[in-house]
Order: sequence, then C-alpha cells, then structure tokens
Amino acid sequence: MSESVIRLQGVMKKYVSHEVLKGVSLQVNKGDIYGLIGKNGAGKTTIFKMILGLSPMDEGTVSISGSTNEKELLKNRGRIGFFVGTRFFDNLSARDNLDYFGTVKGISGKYRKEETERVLEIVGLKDVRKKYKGFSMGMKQRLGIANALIGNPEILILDEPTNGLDPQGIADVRNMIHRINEEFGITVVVSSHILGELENTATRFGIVHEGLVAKEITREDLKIREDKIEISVDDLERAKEVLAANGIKVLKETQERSTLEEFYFRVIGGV
Amino acid sequence: MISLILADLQKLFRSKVFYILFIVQLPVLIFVGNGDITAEERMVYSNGIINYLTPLIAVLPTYLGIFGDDFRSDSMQCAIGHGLTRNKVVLAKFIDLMIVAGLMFLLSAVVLFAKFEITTPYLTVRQSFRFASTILLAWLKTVGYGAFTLPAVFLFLRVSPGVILYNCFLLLICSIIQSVQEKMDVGVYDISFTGLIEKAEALAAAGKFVWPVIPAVTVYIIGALILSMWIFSVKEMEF
Repeated sequence: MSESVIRLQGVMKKYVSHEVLKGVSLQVNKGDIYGLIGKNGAGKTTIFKMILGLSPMDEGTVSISGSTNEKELLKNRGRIGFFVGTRFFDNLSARDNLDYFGTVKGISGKYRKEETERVLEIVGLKDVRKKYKGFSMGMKQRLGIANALIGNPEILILDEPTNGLDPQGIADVRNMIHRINEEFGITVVVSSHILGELENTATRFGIVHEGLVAKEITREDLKIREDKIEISVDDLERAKEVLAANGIKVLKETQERSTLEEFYFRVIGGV
Repeated sequence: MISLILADLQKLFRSKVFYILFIVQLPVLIFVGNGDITAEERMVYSNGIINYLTPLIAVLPTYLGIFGDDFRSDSMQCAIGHGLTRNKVVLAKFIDLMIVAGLMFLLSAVVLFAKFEITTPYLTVRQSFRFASTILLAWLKTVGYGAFTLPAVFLFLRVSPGVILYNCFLLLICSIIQSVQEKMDVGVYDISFTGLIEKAEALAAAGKFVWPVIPAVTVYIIGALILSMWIFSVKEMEF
C-alpha cells in the first residue's frame, strides 16, 4: 500500500454564507505528481490553504506525513515547500529574496547560500542579477518555484504555476516538475484549470467540483477509452456486419487514451 | 520565530528606509537646543525631541520596511506555511518593533549625548541621568503605542491603519482621555497607559525609582498583544 504524505478527510470551509469546501477528502502518496484540477472557484486554492494552515477549517482533519496532531502538523509543515504566487520584494534580487525566505525558514548561513545557488540553478535563474521588479512573468514564476524548493522539501505544493506563461514557459515548468519529482524524489501537488497541461504532468489526479473532490484517478485510469476503439480491417464496407458474425480478421486495433478533459467533464457532468 | 526576526532585520537594514529616517531627524537632533540657553532649557528642548520627534520616526521603519513589505509579499504566508504559529508571527513582529525603535532611540541618544559633551550648556550628571530615564520611557511609550496599533494592522493587514492610529495615540490620546475624564467625572487618566508613563517620568524627574510603574504598563502591552493574536488567529491569509 502506498504511503500517504498528505491526507484530507471531510474538510469543510465556509466563508460567511458561501460553503467553499463541503467535506473534501483526498490522499497524496509519496512520490506522486498529484494534479488537482477544477474550474476557477472550485476550491483548489482553499484546499492548499487548509494543508498549509493559512486558513482555519470548520470541520475535518488534515494529516501531513501521517500526523494530525497540531504540534506535529506544525513541524511537518516545515517539510513542505510551496508556490502560491509571485509576490516577492521588488527591490531585492532573486538571490536576496531567496536569502530572506531561506532565513524565514530557519536555514542557517552557509547552507542557505549553497541552497540558494542550487535552486537558482534548477530554475535557470543562476545568472540573473537584476532586481525582482525587472523580472518577466516567467522569471517570477521560476523564482516562486525556487523559493518553494529552498531547504530541500519532501513535498512541493504548486498553485497554478503555469498561470500567465507562454507555451515555452509552460513546457519549462512541466520539465522542471518532472525533474524535481524524478531527480530529487519530491512529491508534488500541482493545481491547474488547464487540463491538457496537467494531463502531461501528473501521475494522479483529484477532480475538484462544487467543493468536493468528486473523483481521484490515476494516469492508468485514462488509458483505456471505454466507448471507442479504432479498427483497421481488410473490408471496411462490410466490417460492421461481418465483425459480429463471422470473425473478420482484425489487422490493427488501436486503443486510444481518453483525454483528461473528457474524463473531467464526464465526472462533473459538463460539456 | 528567531529566524523570522533575523530575516526581517537583515532585510530592513539592507534597505535604505531606516537610514533615511534617521538622517531626517539628524538636523533637529544636532541643531535644536543649542546656543544661549540654560542647561534646564536644553533639557526641555531635548525632552521635546525625544518624546515627540523620535517616537514619530522610530516606528516608521517597522511599518514601512517590515509590515509594508510583508503585506506586499507572501512572507507571512511563508512563515506560517512553514510551520510557525500565528501567535509567534505576531510576537516576532512586536519584537521587530521593539528592536528597531530601540535602535532609533539609541542612535538619537548617542547623537544627543555627544552634543551635550561637545557643546554648551553642559548637563550635570543628575540631568544626564534624568535624560537617560526620559529616553527609556519614551522608547517604552513608543513600544506601547506600537503594540496598541497591532490589532488594527493584523485586522486589515495594512500599514495605514497602524500609522494613523499610532499618530493618534502619540498626539491626541492625552487630550482624549482628559476630556473623557472631565465629562464622565471619573479618574481614568492616572491608570491609563499614558498616565502611567507620565507618572514614571515624574518619578524619574524627582530622581526616584520608576520600576513600580513597569508591571502595569506591561499588562497593557500584553493585553494588546493577546488581542492582536486573537484577531490574527481567525484572519484568512490570501495569496
């Protein structure tokens, strides 16, 4: 059985009269690239807030690395690196920003400098010297990911890391996520409303809809398309008739993978 | 918590805001209270500077260079998401305020005492001691008023309510409490934070021990911190 690193059970959250989460349960296993998908306002960011302790929850439990105890939760949150936006200090360089956030995370002097260089190399900002205010959107996203990586976390949470990026930037982030997961063994939880993007990135998916995780599936579940197969036969005209009765030789049969988008809409009942 | 304080202070002293604000008050520190006046008159001028100008300046680096940056970036979210409790975040910010204001007062004191040593009229040892007590109490008053603004800062997660409220405390609170006292015919001034600080100033001026006042003053500050912690504990952190 897979070891769960994050588990939510029956998590509920209400903002005034609006119920954002209506009993969310999900499980992220060690080594996963877990894609949290759902339309804007579905509750993806609120789920992250619950995991990170940035918003008090009304009901339910959050477990990180097997612990639900408040004291241990605080300690275990130290194992999570997270990217939730690109709000840094305008007048500091990438290095100085990372130095500040590294200090906040309690990473000591010499190791902090080494870590800063390591994560800047991973995200491709090692040679950038200018201040944050001069950064492009792509560079800001990269710095956000670098900040999440500093301190060598076991779990990485990325909230819509490809927002506002061009196709090259999206591909770069996707490659970065794969590298982080494969090379450093970091479990990644990533959210997006761009389904095609996550389809190529994640190994497991949680579909968030109307305040619930409506379905959790693996990449394997997408493999076999239930309603359609492509068959090449030697007599196309008569194929339908003969197939049923007389066993016309099937020369080629291709099983297509359904897209994540199709699966998503099947679950939530949309178009 | 210590990591957050260290990070805040390192960042603040890398930026220019602290130094600019110190330089802004430097001409007043150097040039006011000199010339053909008595030592007592010099004390009055210097007390005015240390009780009004320095407190006005001393909190600004914390509001602008620490809180302002915090709200423009995700640094508080980073600290909390990394396992720091919200109570410790509030405490860390209060300690930032104490340290930064303390440094501003210390630098101002160094300039003033250097001036007293170099230029006339010279202060007596007793006057110097009294002035040192005034500086300590002005710092305590600054820290107290700063603490009283924290509930508003954490409620709105903005700097401006804090700055406005701080200036109200510094400039208007005496008149407000006194008018309330007159209208309601109750003696609240003596037990107010400001009244207690003034009582301590009077004790120091008479060469007496000010410490009996300190526990009551501390209770006020702790009360403000508890209120800030409660407000921040139910606050949603956006990102």
